[in-house]
Amino acid sequence: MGFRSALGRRGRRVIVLGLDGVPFTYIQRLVAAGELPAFEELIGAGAFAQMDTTVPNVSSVAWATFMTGRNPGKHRIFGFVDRQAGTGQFFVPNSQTMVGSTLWEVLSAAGKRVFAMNVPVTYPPRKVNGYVIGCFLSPTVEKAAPTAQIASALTRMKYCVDADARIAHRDKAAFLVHLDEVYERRLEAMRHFWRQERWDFYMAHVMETDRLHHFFWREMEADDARFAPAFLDFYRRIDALISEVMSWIDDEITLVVLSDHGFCSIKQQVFVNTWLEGAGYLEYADRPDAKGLAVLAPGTRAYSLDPGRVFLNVRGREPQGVVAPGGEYARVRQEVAATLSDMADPDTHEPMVERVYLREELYSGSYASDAPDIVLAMREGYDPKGAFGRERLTFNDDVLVGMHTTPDALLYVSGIPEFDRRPHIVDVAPTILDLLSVPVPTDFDGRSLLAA
Amino acid sequence: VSRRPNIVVLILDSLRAAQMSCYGYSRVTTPNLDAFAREGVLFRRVFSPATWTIPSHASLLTGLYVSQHRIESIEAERRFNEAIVTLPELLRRHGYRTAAFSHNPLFSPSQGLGDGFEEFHEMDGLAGGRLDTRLFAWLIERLSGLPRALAQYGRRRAAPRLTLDAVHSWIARLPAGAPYFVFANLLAPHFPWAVPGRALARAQALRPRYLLRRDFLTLKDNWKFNAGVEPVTDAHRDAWRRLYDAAVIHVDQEVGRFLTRLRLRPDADNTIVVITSDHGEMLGERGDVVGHVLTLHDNVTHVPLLIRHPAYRPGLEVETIVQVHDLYATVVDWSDVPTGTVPSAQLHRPTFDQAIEGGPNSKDYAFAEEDYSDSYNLLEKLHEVNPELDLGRFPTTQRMVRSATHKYVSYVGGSGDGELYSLVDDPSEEHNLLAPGAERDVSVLTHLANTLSTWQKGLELFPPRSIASEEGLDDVTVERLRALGYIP
Repeated sequence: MGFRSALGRRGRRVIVLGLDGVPFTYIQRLVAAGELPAFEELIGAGAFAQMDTTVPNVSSVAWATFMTGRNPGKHRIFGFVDRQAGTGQFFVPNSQTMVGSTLWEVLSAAGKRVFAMNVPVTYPPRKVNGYVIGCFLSPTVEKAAPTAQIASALTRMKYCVDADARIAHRDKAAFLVHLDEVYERRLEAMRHFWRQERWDFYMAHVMETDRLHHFFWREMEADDARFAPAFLDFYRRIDALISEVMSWIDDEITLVVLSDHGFCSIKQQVFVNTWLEGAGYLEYADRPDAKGLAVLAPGTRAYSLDPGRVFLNVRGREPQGVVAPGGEYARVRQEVAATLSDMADPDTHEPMVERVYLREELYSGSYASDAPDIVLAMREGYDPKGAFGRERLTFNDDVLVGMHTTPDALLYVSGIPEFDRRPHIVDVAPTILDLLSVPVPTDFDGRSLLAA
Repeated sequence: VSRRPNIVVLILDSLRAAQMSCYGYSRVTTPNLDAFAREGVLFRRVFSPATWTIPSHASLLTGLYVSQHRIESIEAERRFNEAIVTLPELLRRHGYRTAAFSHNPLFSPSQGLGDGFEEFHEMDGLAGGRLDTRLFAWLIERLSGLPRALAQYGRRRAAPRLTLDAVHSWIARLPAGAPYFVFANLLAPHFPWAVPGRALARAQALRPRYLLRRDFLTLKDNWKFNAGVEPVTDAHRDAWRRLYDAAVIHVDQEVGRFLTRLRLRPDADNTIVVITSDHGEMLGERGDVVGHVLTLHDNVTHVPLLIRHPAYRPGLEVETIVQVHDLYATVVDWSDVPTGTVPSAQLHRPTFDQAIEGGPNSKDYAFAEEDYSDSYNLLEKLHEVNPELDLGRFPTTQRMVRSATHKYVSYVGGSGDGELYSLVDDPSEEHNLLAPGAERDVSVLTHLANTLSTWQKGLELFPPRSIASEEGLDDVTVERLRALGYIP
């Protein structure tokens, strides 16, 4: 009897723990050093592997891909910021923008009781059989909550939607204290809702790791006397959480742990629009108070948004588009892709771009036409930025010191010896459905990682 | 009493001390509370720091004055400063079970006042209470053909009992040995008054003609009177007085019933009961003011405080000036919880025990504030009701200092110089010694004005957090995301 038949019994339940931005290799390193005993025990009791994530490797795209089991061409979340069709204004896509049934909606339809808390792109909470508590995009705790009762419970716990990153810009030490506080309240809420009901599916997401990395990754790598110990300390608290969650599980419960991308130190922030301007593809309109794409002069043929997403200024698509669809589009896109692949660090002359993707290489589905025309995969340490109006191509004196990487997310599933192949984040939802013996929707792009 | 006594706090909303027989009212309105005072301690000179629910409850829960915590907006967009540790939060952290019960929609987690309560029961529905009272309320509400007003009456009338029953059953359900802190708001003395017939009869308020007069039955339209659109007549004052009496009689009965049940519990000897109010009420007195607005008159700020504490000498009456939010330091002291994380400003006020030990002290002062310059702009509302009204005569901010013998109210904005009363000769504050032509006692005035400004300057401030209410991304969220580098 294989593990699948052992696991596929009725009554199986799943706990998912999301650890934003925790790199597989970093956990491996700490476990090898004996710093994370709970993780070590965990890894011994299931499959643990490095996982690929989405391009671009931002949380909103990665978690939308996780929860829908589909590529961005189907779920329509391509980045943290996008431009509105017609007006060219910028907006932040949220759960209303996202297309397609989520993992918890599929489970709900199968009659399972589900709970998910704080998973990116779940604000505003959509209806499920159970509760979804919204993510860091929620302006208030009340709005993150699906019901007044939950709002009141969260408020009582002083639950915090997200750490306030503005503090880090004023005082990094104070931010660490604040981050601990937010994390503690998150844990309190996790425990509260875990105890509340016998969920078939329970997921809680920790955002604090990502916040820690953005502001302290370089210090951790440099073994900074002030912050490296605090960094490690935070991971010990994560380890304590793992230990606590392990105490919740029994034979009926499978524990899944995953992150959505890896992390590395920033060498340079790279202002892609500055490169495009220098290469003659982008001009600014002389309108200092303009918003959205209105900052661009009509002669612009290409522009970039975070992180490394490049769009042509296409006639009929962008408000002041000039590039004609068809032959001209294909020709300009090839030119732009070629010039972008030449981007080099002005200080060291190292190439900064790992690979230039054309959108059809990455996305497929009904919304693939909303995707960026070109996506840059950068070499480690070069963080592509979409800011407009920057004079210099690069910048490396920011409070933000960590950036995401694509191949170093992690996935863990308890009770199985190994995955049947290298996991991609799109495969996690079908794997969970498989664990719970719920049929996988036919338009999912991912496939279960459990051996057949 | 053990080191960790149980603590029950009852807030009888909008109850002015002057309306209670134990505080010298000429009619017997509070026989049960009078008896409770005889077996406990009665504080004669008790003042609320604010004039309405939200700021006053925020003070009760934090020990801070209103200008320190600034939770005084009805828009529900403010939350306590992160540094503040609320009373239930502190107690809960140290092993107390904590619960709040509220029939006042403004004392609610949605106003940020639920922090630290393990459970917060908003008693606007029919939850809690014994089956018979629940059935009664349900019937009143559901019976077809009943006018809405009557249904509301039934619901409000049942609310004190439902609330107190819910408190009692919460306590009864707790495992033995766990100390508890329960904080309940009984809205009943607050208008519109929904009183059973018997209490109406006792207050001689059972008059059919009242039923035809909304302006008699509630102070809800106090704007009209305060804005001068409608005059306050003696008939109004008489009706309001009787109906308010009836409401006080009603809440007294319900509290009496609850106290009896509490006394029969095995943990009675280890349970401290505190009964007080968040503010009083004006029934068309001085200057025809109606409701708990616009003035820091004793009718609004002088409230009851009765405590049954197993270690207190029964029947003691305390003359020392205290404030309701001294509750914070007092409960911290009673429960003996560590206060390492509590900002010292929250513990600045003396405890009730210290007030008992200290005896009357001429250096005792109470302070209170009423501020329309912030988000609660009552003057705008008055102007809306009566565009002719000269708003210039109203101060936007009033601050009161009150000693045992004098009261001084400073004005910011408005045309007057403020108010000064010599309370020994003029207990009902009819003769403002700062009015043009009045004879002012300069040394008293200077002393009180200095006391007030010293107090004000010494306040440590805890600016509230604001939570935005717009859909989508508010400015703060945008700034937060920008700080993460998510938005250029």
